[in-house]
Amino acid sequence: MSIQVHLDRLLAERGMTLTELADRVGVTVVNLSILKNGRARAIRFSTLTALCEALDCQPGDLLSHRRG
Amino acid sequence: MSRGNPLEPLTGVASAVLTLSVIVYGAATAIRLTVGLFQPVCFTAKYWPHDAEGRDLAAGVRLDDVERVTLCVDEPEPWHHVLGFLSEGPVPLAQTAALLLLVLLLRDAARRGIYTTETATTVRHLGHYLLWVLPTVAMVESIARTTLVHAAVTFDAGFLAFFGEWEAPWWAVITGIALLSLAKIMRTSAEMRADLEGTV
Repeated sequence: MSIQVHLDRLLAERGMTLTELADRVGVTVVNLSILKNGRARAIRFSTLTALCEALDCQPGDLLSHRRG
Repeated sequence: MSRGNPLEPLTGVASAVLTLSVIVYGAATAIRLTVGLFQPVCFTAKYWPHDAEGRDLAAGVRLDDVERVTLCVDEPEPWHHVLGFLSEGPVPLAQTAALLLLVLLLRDAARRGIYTTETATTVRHLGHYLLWVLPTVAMVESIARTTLVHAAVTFDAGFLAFFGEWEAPWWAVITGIALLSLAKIMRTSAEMRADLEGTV
């Protein structure tokens, strides 16, 4: 997959667990885990907004595109 | 009606009809392979040129039923029995097989889910089966019947007569084409479902 999700790194930098993030953004741990492991096929703008607010970051910090 | 399985009552009805078909076809085949071997081989001649007259018949052949023009070979050879079976047996067998495929498809769909690529593929296979196998089997029957008629008469009945005898199962052709289209729709739906489930 060419879109990389950097949820692991952002969580580690902020000392936050996946469960805490799930509580803050209102998304299930299962869905966040799908996103974290790169198995998500799409992400809603509302989810992205909630994640950026909870992690105090920009969409570009969370996602990046890798060629090939 | 079960609320859990959206494929009911179709699955139940198809299973019941399949069971009935297997019993009837099995019994008919058993009778044919036992008692039938000692009976005359009879077959219909769809395009009989002599109305109700039994003219131009080969030795040992008689005109049995005037309304449907049924010819009978009173002392049949083994090949008469084989062709007699091929003139009546394959289409019911193919229809029973189609029912079996339908029941397996419905059970798999209930287990795996309707909107999966595997179910769509199975629907496509059933569509191809109905579209190609049933008309082909009907043609085999017509060729067998025509061969029997050729051997039973003394005049030239025409080598292409089996096309006239061919009772193409149009319901199977139409249903097969419809299933191929449905399979494409289901494949698209399955991909949409996967996208939806993968959306966070």
